Amino acid sequence: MAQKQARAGNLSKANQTVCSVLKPAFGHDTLHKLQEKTPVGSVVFDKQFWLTTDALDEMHRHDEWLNIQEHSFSIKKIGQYFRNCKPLSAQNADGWRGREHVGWLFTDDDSALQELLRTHLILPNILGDFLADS
Amino acid sequence: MFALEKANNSLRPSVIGSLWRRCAARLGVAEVCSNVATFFMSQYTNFIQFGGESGGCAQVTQLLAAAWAQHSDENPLVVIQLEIVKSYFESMQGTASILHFSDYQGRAHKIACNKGGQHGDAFETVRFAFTTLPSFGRVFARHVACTGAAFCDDVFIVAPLAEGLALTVELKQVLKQDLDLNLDVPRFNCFFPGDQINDDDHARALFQNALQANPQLACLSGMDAGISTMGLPVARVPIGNDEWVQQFVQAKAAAVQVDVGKLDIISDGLIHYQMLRFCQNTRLAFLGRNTLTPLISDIFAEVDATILEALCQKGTTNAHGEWMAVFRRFVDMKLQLPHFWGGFGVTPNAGSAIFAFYATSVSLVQWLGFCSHAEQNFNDLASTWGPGQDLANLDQWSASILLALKQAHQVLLTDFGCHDS
Repeated sequence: MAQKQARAGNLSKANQTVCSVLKPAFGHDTLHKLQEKTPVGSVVFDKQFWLTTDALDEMHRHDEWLNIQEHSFSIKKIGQYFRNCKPLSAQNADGWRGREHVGWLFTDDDSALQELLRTHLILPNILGDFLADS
Repeated sequence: MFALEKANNSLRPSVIGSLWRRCAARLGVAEVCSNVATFFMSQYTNFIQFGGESGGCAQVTQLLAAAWAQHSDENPLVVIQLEIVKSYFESMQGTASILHFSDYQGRAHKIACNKGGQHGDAFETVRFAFTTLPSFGRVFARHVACTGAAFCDDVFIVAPLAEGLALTVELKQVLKQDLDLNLDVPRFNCFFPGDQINDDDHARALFQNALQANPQLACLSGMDAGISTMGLPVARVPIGNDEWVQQFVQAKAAAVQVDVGKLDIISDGLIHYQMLRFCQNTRLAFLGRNTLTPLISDIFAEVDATILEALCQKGTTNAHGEWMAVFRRFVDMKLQLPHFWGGFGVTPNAGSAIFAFYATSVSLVQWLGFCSHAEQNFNDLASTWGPGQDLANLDQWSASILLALKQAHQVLLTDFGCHDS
């Protein structure tokens, strides 16, 4: 396994595979402990100084923000990220990996698909405008 | 979501975000990191949040702790370490999420989470540091006798004992009130630097006296602080007396040597070489550039020798034992020379640590000599962060980190053929 990871180019993961002494937690009480560590509590904070939804919308329409969005989250930068991320890194729930799978989607000229991925899968993480659960 | 077992039977949970979120977080960090670092460094005169940069935190604390001789025996200078309980999970900013976890029987579970950030989220370090900064800064601003540096949720207060404890109490209250965060009991440590107080019992008595002298400090007595006159790891860098620092580095070096042995299992010689060069040989680099070089050179040389031995062993299938000493030295040299000189580029830590320590310490001095910029109203950074040190006059330097810098400078000139520009 370590040699496979190393041949793919992920030396740090290969090294971890051989040397790490930390074991994955798979005890009968692991789920309970994890639930305790991830609290579902009150999120009623003092939001007196937080930006309102309207103010956030206004900020997102501002030239400075649009400039950041256009340059720092451009298709070129997204493509660079996926092509340069570590090989054999953690996969998504559906089995897709950044370098092995998604990176290729940003190597051709299918700019319509790339723009869709950017608009509907990546930018919502910045803008917070996910579709609500049905 | 997955979890690793820690030595004390507790869990270290980590979340692997979706590919899309990881991408957005990384690009976001790249966009803001430079501005955020400037913001962290310039908001408060006596508190700096180093965010994701642990090296600076250790160096600043080391420099501050060097002023121990300016304080009285009754109220000595101390370094107090605080850590926040489950800081990421409990912090005020929320990332409402549904975490997926597969248990020991392979069953999938959903764990709802509506509060705090997650370990593994690339943006979490910046976000945590950013949202907690005003609370820390506000408390430090009220305690001008104290200075502090933080590496995310690891906070180090350098102050006279009584003043430092008073700040700790207020910080405990403010963190709970503002952010619903608790200070971690096992990570409440107090280190007495210098050689004024070198007996742990004496230090413990001083600590207890300080608690009893001020009724407002009563809430700290139950936290059972760890007291030390030997040393304290500050953001993974040992600060303390020479013997303790060397023991700390020795333990880290021994761990590397054990792992070098584990890699013998790799059958492919090229991969074995790459893993030794890029993964094991670089592990001590952080310690090397933040720890006083004279204390660690011999220990690092032992690690270098272990790595060279492992390479020779794998490369010759153990035939290297029959080599003459002079030939072995030649092979070691070829392995350690950089590629452009025909070598294999396994950089010797014992040598590179001198350059690394010099470069990082010079950056610190340069920063302290940098009086102000547009966002900073500090008139003289050096008087706050390098008390008692006249940075313009090398002969007046007394802090061990500055003395080691002078020594490293001399070694680079005399032994390595470097020149002053």
